[in-house]
Amino acid sequence: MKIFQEILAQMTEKEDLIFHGVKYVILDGVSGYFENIKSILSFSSTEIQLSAKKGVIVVQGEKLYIKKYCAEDLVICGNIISVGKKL
Amino acid sequence: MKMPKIYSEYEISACNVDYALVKLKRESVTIYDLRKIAPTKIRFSIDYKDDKKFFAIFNRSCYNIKKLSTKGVFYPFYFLFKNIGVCVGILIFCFLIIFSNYYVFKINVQGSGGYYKNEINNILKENGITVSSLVFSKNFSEIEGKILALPYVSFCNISKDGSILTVEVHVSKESEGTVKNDVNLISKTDGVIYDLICLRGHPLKKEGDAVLEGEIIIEAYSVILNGESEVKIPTAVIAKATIKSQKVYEYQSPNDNEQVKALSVVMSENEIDEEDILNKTITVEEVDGGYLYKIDLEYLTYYSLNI
Repeated sequence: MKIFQEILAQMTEKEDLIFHGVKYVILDGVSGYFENIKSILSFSSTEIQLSAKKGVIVVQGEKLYIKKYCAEDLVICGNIISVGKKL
Repeated sequence: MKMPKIYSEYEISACNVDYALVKLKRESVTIYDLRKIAPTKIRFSIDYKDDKKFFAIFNRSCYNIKKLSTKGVFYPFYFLFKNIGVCVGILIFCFLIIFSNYYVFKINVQGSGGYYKNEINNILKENGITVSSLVFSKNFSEIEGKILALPYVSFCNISKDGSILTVEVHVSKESEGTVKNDVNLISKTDGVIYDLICLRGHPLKKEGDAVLEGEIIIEAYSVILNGESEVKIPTAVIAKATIKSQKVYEYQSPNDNEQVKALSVVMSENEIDEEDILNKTITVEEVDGGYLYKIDLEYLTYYSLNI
């Protein structure tokens, strides 16, 4: 997703920076797009736990479901209330 | 987020159902619309091309897998491709429906001319149309012309609706006994065609044409198009012609001022009605022992056949 590369270029002085951590963008009340996800640890309609390289990402919300899960990319649809990290 | 053109919907139930996702991810199978419908049950879709891979992944494993459906924009085409027998069946059915339309399974003769059924069937037979014969053409004008040539037949229409051929024939009772077959409409005077009504027959003249005494105005045949060639079929003429003539008549009298009498004598001698006179000019010349009235008349004459 080029958007993350553009954000990185804006935020750092190193143009060739490659970021291996979890990147995500949330569209409030609609969906969230996550990159660099290793696997889905558990999921329900209220909470989804995603395994990242450093820790576990916890997505909480209502009526959650996974719209697409492909390689290391993931699209979660539903009303996302919070995204947290468990180390 | 677009779904694949063809995709399969699955339901998996197991104690550790989330681990199934790990297995699918490991084999790079893209998952769509993943929902947990119960603590031990998930429902999702995968691309149809990943179906074989999916079953290979879960071969001999403790998962209850249920394939719910196959969907997608291209699924109808895929279904037809996989069920080629159904396609062939549909095509054969359509072909039979279309082909059966060219067959004649029944011939109906309707109308007041229904008593001509045998003659009409013979005419149809001469033209290759019988029950259970194939009829590709919908142009029956030649046959209609032949049926119209039957005595007293005033109207004929042949139509084919599906595999039923309907011949509608009407006879004109009024013309019974008065129809003159094979008689041309001939002008009995010189003049110009003023008005022409031709219901049947072949007109040789049109309105405005000059016509001589004895000349044929309507000939007793009809021209029918048979493919690209024209066929002449003898027929009874049904027509009426009005001819405008101009003639100078003379009337001699010993008395002067007898214009009215001169005109009435000329009209009665030549059977001309007053209402048919378009123009009249009367001149008087004094001759030996009397007066010569020259009556220049422009008048209409009517000729008709079977009207």
